[in-house]
Amino acid sequence: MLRRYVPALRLAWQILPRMTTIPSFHGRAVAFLAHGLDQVGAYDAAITTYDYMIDRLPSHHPGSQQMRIARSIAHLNNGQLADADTGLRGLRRQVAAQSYPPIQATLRFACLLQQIRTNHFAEACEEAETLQEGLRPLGVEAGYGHALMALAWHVQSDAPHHTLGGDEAATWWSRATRLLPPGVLTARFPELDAVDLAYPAAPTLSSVINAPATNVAGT
Amino acid sequence: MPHTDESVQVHPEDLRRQLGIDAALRRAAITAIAAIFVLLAVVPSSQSETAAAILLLACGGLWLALSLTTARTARQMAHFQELAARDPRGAEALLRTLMRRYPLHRSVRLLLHYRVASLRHRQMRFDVASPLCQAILAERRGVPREARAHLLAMLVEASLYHGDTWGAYHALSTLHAMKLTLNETLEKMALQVNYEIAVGRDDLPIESITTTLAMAELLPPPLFGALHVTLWAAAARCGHTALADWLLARAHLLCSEDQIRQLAQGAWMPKVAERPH
Repeated sequence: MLRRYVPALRLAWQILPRMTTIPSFHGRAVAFLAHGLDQVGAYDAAITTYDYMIDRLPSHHPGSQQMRIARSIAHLNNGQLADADTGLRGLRRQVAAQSYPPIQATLRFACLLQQIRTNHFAEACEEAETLQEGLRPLGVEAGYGHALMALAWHVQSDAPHHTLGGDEAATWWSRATRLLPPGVLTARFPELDAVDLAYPAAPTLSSVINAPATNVAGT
Repeated sequence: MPHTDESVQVHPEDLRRQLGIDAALRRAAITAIAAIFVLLAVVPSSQSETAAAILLLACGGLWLALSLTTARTARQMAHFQELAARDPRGAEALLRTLMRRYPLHRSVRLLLHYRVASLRHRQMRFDVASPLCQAILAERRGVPREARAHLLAMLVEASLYHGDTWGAYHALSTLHAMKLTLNETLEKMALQVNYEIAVGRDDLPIESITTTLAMAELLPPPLFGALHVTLWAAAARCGHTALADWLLARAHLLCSEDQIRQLAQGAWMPKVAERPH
């Protein structure tokens, strides 16, 4: 989770055979493998691993819902738009009926990614007002959603009726880079390179740490 | 989670009394069973084979009844956290029912009181939760390690909330001496930051902020966001204006405006996570 996915995958693969006698640990190790494969871009393998987990969990289980959303995100990243759409349609009603904020936030992110991948940038921008609140339960991972919203506004900034598109894109990109470094964002979604080049990133922790402290008395 | 008028009243002395009753009932049952076996051994079986069979069945039934009560209670508590989040009144009603059951195995009785303490802690009723936590921790046997770590974490949180830095130090130092899981270690790190700030050492968490924030990404988002608010206040007091502004801007992305305001006023506090059992 500190984004050292390749060493983490290697370790998970090594310990997996030892977990077969403890089903709950085995399940967690496989889920971890799926997440890692997804993050390094091995989407086909990730989808296979998600399928393995989904087949073994009850459909109403929150873990199953989380896996199915993650599988839809992998489908979108792998260009399997129809499979992603089928998966997300089935999940919308189910997830709305229960109240696990992280799962609802993950679904919100998946829907945003679907809008971006299907070039529905205008639709994505229309839902911008509720996005920050909607993705908050994801913590720093919400940065991916903010970055995609910046991309949507960046594309829309070329449209004649979106004169403030550039300002909105800059704001969302600033939010995204405040949560995650630009390199991490563009590694996950290469289409964000254009946004990275066009707008300044938020200051990093190391740059503000090195700034001199003011007098505590306020002068 | 607001507390209801139907909330279960539990006092620390109730735990000792209930453990005593459980132990006495179990001893009585074991004595009765032993007495039956002695009787069967002493009285020639030819005199009453039927009576012997009935007595043996009675022994088995008695032991089964004792075990079933404990098993049923443990099963009903397995999903208590979800019930408490979904239906607070239902959770209180369930607690009221389970508290009246006797006899329970020692570990199940302690788990029941641990659930009450966790619930009261989440409701920010620290006046009830803290004494319960201390009463459970005072029991040497029957408290699982995970529950012990969480009880100590709750005591640190409650002590800091009331400004009792000595109580927080005592609980935190006990936590430092324990072997903890990754999640527990991260939560202890967040508590350590809160403690250092509470005793006026704002400089300490600022010195190690890079490592702290990198590791804290693994915390549940509410705790991670709250840590930013805490560090923002410390950075501002140390005169690190740029760092304070950066932390506050990040806090606004991780927490709602209401949460930031309540955190700053001490009116809201995301709780350390309860462990499933």
